[in-house]
Amino acid sequence: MNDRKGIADGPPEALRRLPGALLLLTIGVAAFGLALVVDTVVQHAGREVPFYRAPEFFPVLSLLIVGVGALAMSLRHLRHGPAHIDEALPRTRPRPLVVIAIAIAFAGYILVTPWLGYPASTALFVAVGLKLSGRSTVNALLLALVTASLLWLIFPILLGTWFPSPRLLDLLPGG
Amino acid sequence: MENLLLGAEAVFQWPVLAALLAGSLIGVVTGVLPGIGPAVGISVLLPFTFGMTPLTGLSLLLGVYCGGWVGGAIPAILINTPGTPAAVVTTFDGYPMARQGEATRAITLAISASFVGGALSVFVLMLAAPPIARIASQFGAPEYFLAAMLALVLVVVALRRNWLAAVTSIGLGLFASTVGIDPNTLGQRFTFGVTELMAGLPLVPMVIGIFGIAQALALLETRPPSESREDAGPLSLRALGEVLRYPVTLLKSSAIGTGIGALPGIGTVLATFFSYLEAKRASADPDSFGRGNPRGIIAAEASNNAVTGASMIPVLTLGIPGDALTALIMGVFIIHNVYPGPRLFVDNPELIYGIFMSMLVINVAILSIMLCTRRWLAATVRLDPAILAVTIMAFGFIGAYAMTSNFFSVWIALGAGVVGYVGRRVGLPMIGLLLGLILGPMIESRLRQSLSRSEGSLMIFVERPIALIFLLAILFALSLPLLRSAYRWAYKPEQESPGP
Repeated sequence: MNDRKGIADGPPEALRRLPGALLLLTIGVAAFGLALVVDTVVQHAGREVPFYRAPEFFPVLSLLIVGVGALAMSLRHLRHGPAHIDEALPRTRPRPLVVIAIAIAFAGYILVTPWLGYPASTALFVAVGLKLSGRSTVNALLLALVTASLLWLIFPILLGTWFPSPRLLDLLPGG
Repeated sequence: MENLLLGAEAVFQWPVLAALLAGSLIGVVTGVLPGIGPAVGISVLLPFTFGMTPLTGLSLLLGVYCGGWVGGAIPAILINTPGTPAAVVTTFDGYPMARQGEATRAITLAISASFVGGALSVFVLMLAAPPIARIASQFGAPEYFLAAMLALVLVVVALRRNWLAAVTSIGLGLFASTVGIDPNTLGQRFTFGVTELMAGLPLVPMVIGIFGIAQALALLETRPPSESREDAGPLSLRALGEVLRYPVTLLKSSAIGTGIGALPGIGTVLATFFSYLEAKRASADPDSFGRGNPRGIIAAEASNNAVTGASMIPVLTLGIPGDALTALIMGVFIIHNVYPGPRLFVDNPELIYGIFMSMLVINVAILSIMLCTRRWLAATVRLDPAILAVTIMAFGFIGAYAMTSNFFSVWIALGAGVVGYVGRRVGLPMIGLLLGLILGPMIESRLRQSLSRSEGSLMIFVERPIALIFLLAILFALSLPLLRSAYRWAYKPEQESPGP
């Protein structure tokens, strides 16, 4: 859509594209960097082998594809903006802070599960996630209880998925 | 025939029937909910299949796969929002027909056309797969390498306007597939001393991240569908037969969908567009398209469902998935230590013919589910995306954890989810990443085997007849954009009249 518009659109448009372009640039530079230090991150058998038998042959090939592709995409991104792909949902309500907050909440979910146990941490994550996304507290708590109970019933109870016992219990007197 | 009976016997067992019914229902629901789609459904349901037999697990996920495409038509018709990318073409005539007070007719046409398209493509799968598998049994390392490369090249060609993004994404997937212990030299690659990475990046958490968590994060930035929508009224069984009044459109669209589906990489969206354009071109009244023409709905729905059966041909015969969804289905085979390809037709005909029969039954199940639950499904269109997003993430957590009982897998899923979300925002198609990840080990091992056999000479890809055919197909596919440009350049002066 905006293929015809370039940097000539003015600083705001170009600035808006900058984070995406920088990200692609970082991917490209990281790929070239990894390809350059491949000897230190890939173990060798210790003997000379033809290039096609060497363990770094295919990774270097794929890293070069990523490096060249990402650098070219970075330039394209800066000039024309992101490429449109069918699988991307239309961003009708940009809320980057909510997305970041819920991604962090998910990381917290992973960290607290060994401490609180699966059902409690699931209820906590769903409640926090729904609250962060704008649901009312009552709604968030009710949905959290239903989702956590359902998942607990299906996985640990019915399918026998093992979870470590909550570490918090060990801290309690007599735990 | 004997094999088909064997397959029927395997399918008509309670666990398999229950799985395919549940899968079909969940698939239809994932298709109905805009922004969810069968890919999210399959990734969230993957962990449920761990304790199942391969056929039961596959039936569950094939139900989601086929059901998702059919369900996508409902929001397309009722709220002008496609439930799946392929259903965008259904909105062209489905929504105008609903606006004219004929929502029920539009949905019934979509359901019946989907059924015919889906069932016909399964018959093609049943007829075409065994002979192709026989040919594939003669393939060696060079042929497999080039066949997998052809699939990747077709993905790039299909995304030709974003070919650079497709190539980068495939490269990322191929690189990700090299993490872990190299099977040839047993040396560690990119593990950075992390023990959990020695077995490579685990497929299930990666899939859950790329499709489930990434899509959930994207859903948080989507508005809930508008309250106003056309109503799906009571069903008239007579309307079900209306589709048969357009046999040419129905058969032509099913054939286009089947043909495109059998080619790796092209995808459902292109199939529906081709069918729609062909129906419009062949119509005596092309101006009525876009204003509620039933042929428009039939063309879109018959073709997008015809892709499902045909797209299983390269997966089952060569072990090469052609799109993201069949790559996910291929993941189920791998999880169960079953490797699709010509040997599977000899070693495990019960599974292969069970899959054929299962897909046939799934189409009947979807038809019944859609007819019985249509009005209820229409109501779910309005579910808040934020609730769906948080629920999908909770499912994603347990899905990534369940296979290994290790929290490291959940971190991998979160990482893949962030990559998937950011990747979509900067225009990286995730289909390339997933295909690279799944096909990477095959491409690397077959390339190294081929070059070892030829002592480094690339002539091995030219000297063998079948390999040469694949190579020529790759070159032809790569030259298509050039040929298209040349054609446009040659005909441009006639279309434009640059007068002084």
